[in-house]
Amino acid sequence: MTLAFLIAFAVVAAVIIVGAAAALSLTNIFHCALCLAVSLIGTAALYLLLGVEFLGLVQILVYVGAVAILVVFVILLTRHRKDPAPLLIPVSRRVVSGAITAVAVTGTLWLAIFKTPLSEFNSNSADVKQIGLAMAGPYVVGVQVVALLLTSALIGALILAAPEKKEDSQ
Amino acid sequence: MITQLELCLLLAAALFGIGMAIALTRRHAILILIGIELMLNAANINFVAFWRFGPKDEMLTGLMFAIFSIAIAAAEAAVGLALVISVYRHFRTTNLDQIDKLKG
Repeated sequence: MTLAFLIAFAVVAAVIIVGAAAALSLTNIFHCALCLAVSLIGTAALYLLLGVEFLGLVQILVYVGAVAILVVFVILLTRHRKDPAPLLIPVSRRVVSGAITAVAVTGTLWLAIFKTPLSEFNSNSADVKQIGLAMAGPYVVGVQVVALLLTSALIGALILAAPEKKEDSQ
Repeated sequence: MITQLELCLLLAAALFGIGMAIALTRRHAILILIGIELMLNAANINFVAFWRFGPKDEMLTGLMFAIFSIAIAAAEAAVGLALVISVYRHFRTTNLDQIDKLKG
């Protein structure tokens, strides 16, 4: 592990964590959605750093380009009150108990990671050609099932979000 | 000496914790979806890290799993946000504390 990798990883990790923490603590939900986008861009940068360029680009296209924009649209569609609010969420019992639970889970995971002997190989890499061959070869059934799932999700989302017809109109 | 794999796992665990804190503490339906997206992202980082630093693998297992996971997360976000719009139309609010019609 080189020093350059360490510095780049620290920058990327800071972007991811700061973005997510801002999404956790800001009151304005619109700002939360934008901070989510920052965190997702950081994740894409992490994939690029790990040498998985295709996944990084997919992450930007799907998450930043589609999911984050969709979240922003839904916020604009459902926002109704605009009373002035503090910048950060107020500390309540729910916030404290939620934070304690999250810190406990993270601490347990970190402990497990530190206690587990992990052997590192640093061997795998994949270019787009290999990924395409794998998608068209051993994973072709999975790709088609995902296509079916996306189609049904699209239709289901349209049906759920479509305006309801008035029952008593006839 | 900490390895690259361990660094990625620690980062993913921290991201998972933050996503979980969002889903637990915030009461806005969209924010809970945001928290779930962050937790899914943490899982994806783990998939990629274990594949990238694992033994030689010609099937690209972890990478393909992450790609499928992203596709399913996109479908989940679309349906979830459509549900939020539908709920908002009924109750005129997205605060989950005020949507308690099923509460006995």
